Amino acid sequence: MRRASTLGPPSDEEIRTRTRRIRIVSYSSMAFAVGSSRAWSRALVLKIRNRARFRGILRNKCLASKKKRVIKRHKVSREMSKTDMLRRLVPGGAGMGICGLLEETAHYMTCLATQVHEIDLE
Amino acid sequence: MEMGDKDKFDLEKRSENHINYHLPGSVPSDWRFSGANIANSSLGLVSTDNQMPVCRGDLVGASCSSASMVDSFSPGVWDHPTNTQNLGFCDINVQHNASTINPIGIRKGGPASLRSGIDKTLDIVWNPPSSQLKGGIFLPTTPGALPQSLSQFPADSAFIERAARFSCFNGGNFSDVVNPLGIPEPMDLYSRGGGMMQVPHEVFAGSGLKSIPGGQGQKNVMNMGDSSKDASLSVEHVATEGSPLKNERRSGSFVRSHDEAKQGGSGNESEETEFSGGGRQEEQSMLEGNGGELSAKSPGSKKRKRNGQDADPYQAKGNQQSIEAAKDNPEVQQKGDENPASTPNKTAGKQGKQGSQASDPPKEEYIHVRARRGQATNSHSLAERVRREKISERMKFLQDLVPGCSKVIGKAVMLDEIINYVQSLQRQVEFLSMKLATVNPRLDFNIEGLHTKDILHSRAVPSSNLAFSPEVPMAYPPFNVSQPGLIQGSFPGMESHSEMLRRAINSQLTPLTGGFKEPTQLPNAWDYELNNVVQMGYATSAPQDSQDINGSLPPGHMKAEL
Repeated sequence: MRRASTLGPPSDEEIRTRTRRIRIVSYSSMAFAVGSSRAWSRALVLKIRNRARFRGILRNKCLASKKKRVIKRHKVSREMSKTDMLRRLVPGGAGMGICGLLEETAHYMTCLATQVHEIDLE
Repeated sequence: MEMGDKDKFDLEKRSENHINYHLPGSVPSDWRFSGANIANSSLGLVSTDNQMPVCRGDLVGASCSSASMVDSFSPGVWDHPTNTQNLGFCDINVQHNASTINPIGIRKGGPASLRSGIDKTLDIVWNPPSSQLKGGIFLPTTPGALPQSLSQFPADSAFIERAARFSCFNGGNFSDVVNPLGIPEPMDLYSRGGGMMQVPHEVFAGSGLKSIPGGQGQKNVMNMGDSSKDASLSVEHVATEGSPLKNERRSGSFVRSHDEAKQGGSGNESEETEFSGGGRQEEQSMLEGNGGELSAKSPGSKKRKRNGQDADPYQAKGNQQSIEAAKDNPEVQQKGDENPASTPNKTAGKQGKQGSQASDPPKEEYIHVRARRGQATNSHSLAERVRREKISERMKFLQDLVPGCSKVIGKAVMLDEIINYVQSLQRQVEFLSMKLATVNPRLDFNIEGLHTKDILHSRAVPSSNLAFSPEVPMAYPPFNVSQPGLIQGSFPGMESHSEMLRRAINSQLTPLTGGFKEPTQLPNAWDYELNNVVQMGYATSAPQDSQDINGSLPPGHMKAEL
């Protein structure tokens, strides 16, 4: 368990870590609240789960293929259409048609807005 | 005979044949039906192409497979009983060939093509109809009735124009039809410009809407003037789609639809919806008419290019309405937005689809799918149309969601806005989480304790959850502290706990893959705990947060009615 070892101002790294965690928590809570009725919630849960499980492995892979990815991203971003961008944004949007994607987007948008609202209340 | 008659019609048709008629030979029945319907509903309806007077005769004749048919169409259109008969017959045909013929018949690229198409259809039509028509053949109630009816109608310029248009469309068909029947009269009638007027007028009259048709006819003509072809197409569609039986209703509805169409796409839609609400073919026909009209106008031209494969004549009509507003609207927009009716029309069996499109389409319960005039009757086109409408529906829905996008029109711009909005929301979450992270540094939350409590007390915790919950609490026992003292829990501690908890849950859940039931149940409790923890820092009742989220999300999410 990581505890606040230092009482000084939190380092950037710490903040980043915390931020990441909080974000994950919020997303997972949102996904769990929605349940499995939505494709995006399912995809989100799986993503978080896999991330937690394979975090170490993914990190190594990421570091290794960062350069490639960067290059690829440049190429891809140009050709990416709007729907592709939307697919990336909405979890689980890759395997859906436009119709389903739009529906999921609508639901995801409202849940995100609610989430923001809730976190804001914090 | 056929050829001779056809020639006559060709001349007429060619003169004004603007519409591209697609006459897929494969869809004779529909064509027949459409032709019959057209004749029945109102020859003038299809008046976009003046050339059609002949077509109509052909169509009628073909479908009826008998001279009586022709007679019935021309005069039959005006004659109630005959019309019904024709309609009934057409119905049969139409149903069988949902949306195949109409668009085909309606779209005649040219007299030549029409002829060929008609011939083909005729051949095919003749065979089946003959058997079917037996029952439905109306006796040529009054070959002379036609002339009478024709003469009755004053040579209304508008009517004539429309009639000419319709006739043009039908002319080709009729010629073929008539020829076999050997009834030149109808053709002659159709050939006359005035005849056309009368026909439509008669049609309405037959349905009891004499007054309306008269006025509407003019209106229609005028509207159609813009895109005569379209109007005629739509009319035809209306006629054909409504099925002969409904002709009367259709004509009425058509008339109404015309009015509505005139008023605007929205009006039409509403009407259409109204009609559809009734769940009657009438509505369908109306929509068809409207759709046809509207679609005829703009989409007709556009659709023609489509190769008339659109089996959604109705959609075309509906689209047309929208098109009128913006002619260059892509078909998609037209259809998707305006033609709720079209969708139902398209898929005869896609009633469910109609239900899904609660907002727009309302109409159709069952509708045989008919390709709209000038639209391809291909099943693919129909499906495309339905799909497009679905997409447009969803886009509209999203438009309401995204703030400040009410005036945006267009898929591309809307998509941009949606993407921006989602990105901004995600960035907001990240920003807020960062804020939380900085605000709550080293808060030692007794997350474990909370989690444990929640897990143990979580609502409806299934046994599976309990199975691993003991495992989770096990990790936390060392952290159990009195709640009040936990509020200073360190955030990282909480995070780690959450992660641990998550991992534990995940590990437990993996074998449980029973869907998300277990995971969700547990996660809910876990979230609850997490939320509580998060709020601990603020000494607010933790449960509220999770509850809020859980409660707000479900109500918040819009069950896509789509």
